[in-house]
Amino acid sequence: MTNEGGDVGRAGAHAVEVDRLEVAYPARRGREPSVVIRDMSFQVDEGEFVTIVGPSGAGKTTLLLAIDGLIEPSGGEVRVKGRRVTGPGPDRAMVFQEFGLLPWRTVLGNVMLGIELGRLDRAQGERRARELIRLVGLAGYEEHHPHQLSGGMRQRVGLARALAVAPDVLLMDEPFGALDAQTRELMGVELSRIWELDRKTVLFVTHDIDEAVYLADRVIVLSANPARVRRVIDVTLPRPRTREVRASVEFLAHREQLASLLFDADASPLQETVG
Amino acid sequence: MSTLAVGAQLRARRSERVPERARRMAIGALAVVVVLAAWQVVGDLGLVRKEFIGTPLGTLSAGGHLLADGELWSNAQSSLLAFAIGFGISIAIGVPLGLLMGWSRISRELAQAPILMLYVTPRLALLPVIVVWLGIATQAKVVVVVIGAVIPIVINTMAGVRDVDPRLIQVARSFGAGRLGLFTKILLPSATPLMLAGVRLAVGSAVLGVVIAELYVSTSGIGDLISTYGQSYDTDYVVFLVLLTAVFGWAVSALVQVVERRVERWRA
Repeated sequence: MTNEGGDVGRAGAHAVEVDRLEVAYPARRGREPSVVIRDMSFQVDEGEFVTIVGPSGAGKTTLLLAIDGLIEPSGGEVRVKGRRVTGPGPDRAMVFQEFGLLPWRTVLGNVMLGIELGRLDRAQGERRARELIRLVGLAGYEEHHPHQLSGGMRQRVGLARALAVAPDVLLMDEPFGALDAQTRELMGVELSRIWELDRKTVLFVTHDIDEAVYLADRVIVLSANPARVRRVIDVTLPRPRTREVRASVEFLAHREQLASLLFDADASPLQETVG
Repeated sequence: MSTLAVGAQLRARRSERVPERARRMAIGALAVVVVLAAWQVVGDLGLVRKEFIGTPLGTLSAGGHLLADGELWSNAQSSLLAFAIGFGISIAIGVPLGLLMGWSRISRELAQAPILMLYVTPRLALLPVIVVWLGIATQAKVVVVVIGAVIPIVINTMAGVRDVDPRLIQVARSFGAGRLGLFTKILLPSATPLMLAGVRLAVGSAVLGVVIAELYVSTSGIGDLISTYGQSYDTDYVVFLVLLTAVFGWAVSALVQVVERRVERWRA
């Protein structure tokens, strides 16, 4: 299968462990191999919501693809629950920035995709799919096609599809990046609400600083060229994250800390741990 | 405004245009009537010799004769048989070949040149060879049909496969799709619209193939009838048969379109 049982998953192992990861694209004619990620290490614990930020082109998407097993590392390794990742698997599911819905399938058909490919029980899977469609707020739209849905609705389908395979880890690659600002904020609140019900381990890549702070327990800040972990910031805001939290002084403080880290030369040393 | 509300608005506007659509159809029908009338008059008044263009009434009468003495039906059967077999074989060969060529770069590079050469070769030029090989019966007609009809099917199917959105492939792989899963759940459904378009385009080629083969080398079939009546300057008969063939081709093509539209309900 896709997770090699070199060392069987140990109890107490981190949900996700990135260990000196290196990802390089092979050399092309006359060019050097380009190293996108070098010597990246961090851990994510079970039930943690971690956001990942960094400048454009910092390899954030590449990192998620490597964790999902769609890209092979050129060095180091990724472990999920103690087992090395060698390819995609039912323990991880991804939500994509451009939704990635199959246009010829209905909402229900799309949510069922992972269930079909994973060859899980069909009847049970359909029940779960319908529950999730209701959970993400799309009850009544089961027979609609993606072209009939707005961007926000399509991404809800993407989220339901990922949750339908009951993954241990949810990987989200700028899932709200293609949406307008209002929808993005709304979806953030929605996601938080849905997450509270189950508290999965989530790795959430984003450009949006507000989003990064609002959703996370910890924010991993990456540097670019090549990407590595620059800083990890703890977010000590109360949960559940309601809309009021977003206007609180504590939120602004965290946000400012993150912003200055990304934009200014010297960062404030408030509450940081190095991952 | 949500996408659904905008769609509803567009639908409302479209239904207001029904009287406008009826008006357009009426004008089109009127134009056809005018042309037919002019055609009849030109023939009756001797402005153009009837042997050259026939007349609408003469054409109808010719059709009536053909139907009455069974000549039409027996020949139509012969043509239909060749068409059905040839078209069926074209699909049976064309779709898998197109899928293969779309999927595998090696087969694409191997097969592309021969197919292109076949595409530009006039079928008439190959007829003598085919007849020597298979005689002048249905087999020869079928080969002529397949040579022409298989190509648009292959090319369009291949394009359909190559056109697949690579992001969807990534999505499927992330959910654990293997090669078979990718093929059945992503490639095939994605390629189907173009594949059907190829089948639709092949209809004309197939109909032409039957008639051409029959015109030159057959002893039965619509093309053979056309040839016989043409040689004796029975223009009305020729016109009727040509129109019949055209209507048949259009009808089959429209049938494919119906299938296409049903399958493509998911397109915006």
